[in-house]
Amino acid sequence: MPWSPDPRWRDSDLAFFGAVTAGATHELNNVFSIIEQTAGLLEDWCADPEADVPAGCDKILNVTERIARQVQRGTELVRRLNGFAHSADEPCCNQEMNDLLENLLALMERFAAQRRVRLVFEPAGAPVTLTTRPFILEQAVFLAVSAALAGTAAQGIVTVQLTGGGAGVEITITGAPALPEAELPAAVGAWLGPPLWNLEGRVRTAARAGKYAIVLTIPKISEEVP
Amino acid sequence: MDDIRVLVIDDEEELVTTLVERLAMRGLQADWCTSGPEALQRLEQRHYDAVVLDLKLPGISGLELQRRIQQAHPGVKTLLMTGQGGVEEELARLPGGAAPDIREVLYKPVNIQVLVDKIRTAVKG
Repeated sequence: MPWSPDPRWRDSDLAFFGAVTAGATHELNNVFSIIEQTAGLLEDWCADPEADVPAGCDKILNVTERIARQVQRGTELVRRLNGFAHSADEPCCNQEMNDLLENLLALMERFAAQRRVRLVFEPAGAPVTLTTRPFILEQAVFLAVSAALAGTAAQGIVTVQLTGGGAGVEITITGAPALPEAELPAAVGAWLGPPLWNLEGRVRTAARAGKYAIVLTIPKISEEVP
Repeated sequence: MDDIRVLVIDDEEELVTTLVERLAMRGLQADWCTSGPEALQRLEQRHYDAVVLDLKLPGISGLELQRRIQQAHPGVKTLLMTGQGGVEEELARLPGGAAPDIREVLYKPVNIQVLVDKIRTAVKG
């Protein structure tokens, strides 16, 4: 099994941006489809005097609740996608890390669902504001999580844990190995090198008891925030 | 009731159940499921004239599922349903043009009457 993110996502910021956007808009299309079909079902009932709609409103209420639920799902997706898009506004800024990771990982849930893997985020216990390059940090986390998803079997779990404070954070991505332990550091270093260089960060790997972890260490960046 | 029996496969349960109810209101005998393995099992249990399947299913791609369906049940007509743009071009680029068994590519959101017409055309010609 390949244990690597899609090479296109490593080689281009735009490809990474496109992958996240395509995933979210695909999800939005499903939301619109459900709303369209559900509204259509109401129309069908109105047009068909023999439709099996009980005298009580339960069935209709069930359908309108479905529409409301999908509108809420769509609204949240748009909010998250908007937040992701705005992360490219400032090359370097003070960033609340729990929010950044929660948003990115929510957008990645579809990638996990496609592999029938559960993606779990364990935020830091308190808000963590770090001076960093948010868009590049998202790319690094996206690559690491994608690799973990690629190596994890169906029904497995990939966990992303945030620890640390304003001086620097550690982001630990834990999944299942698909490469021998000895090959992990070189493979991970190769595809995470460019974003981590920009983040002044480093990566290490650990593999034990059937699990592996990619640990990203991201310090407060030395550049002054305007 | 039409004599056409169709299986709709999509991992969005609220979408697939609603589609099936609307297809039934238009006279088709429609069943649904939300995964590839379940679809293959249903096809073993009962004859279907057509399957409407989502291109992106968890654990198995719609194209791989379509290939397995065609192998085991060559008479079943396939209509692809997708929220992804440019699928027809992607199908055309597949080695050997792997699209001949796919009767239609429908882009979500799908108009119900268009879907009914496409199913009837695929099955009855």
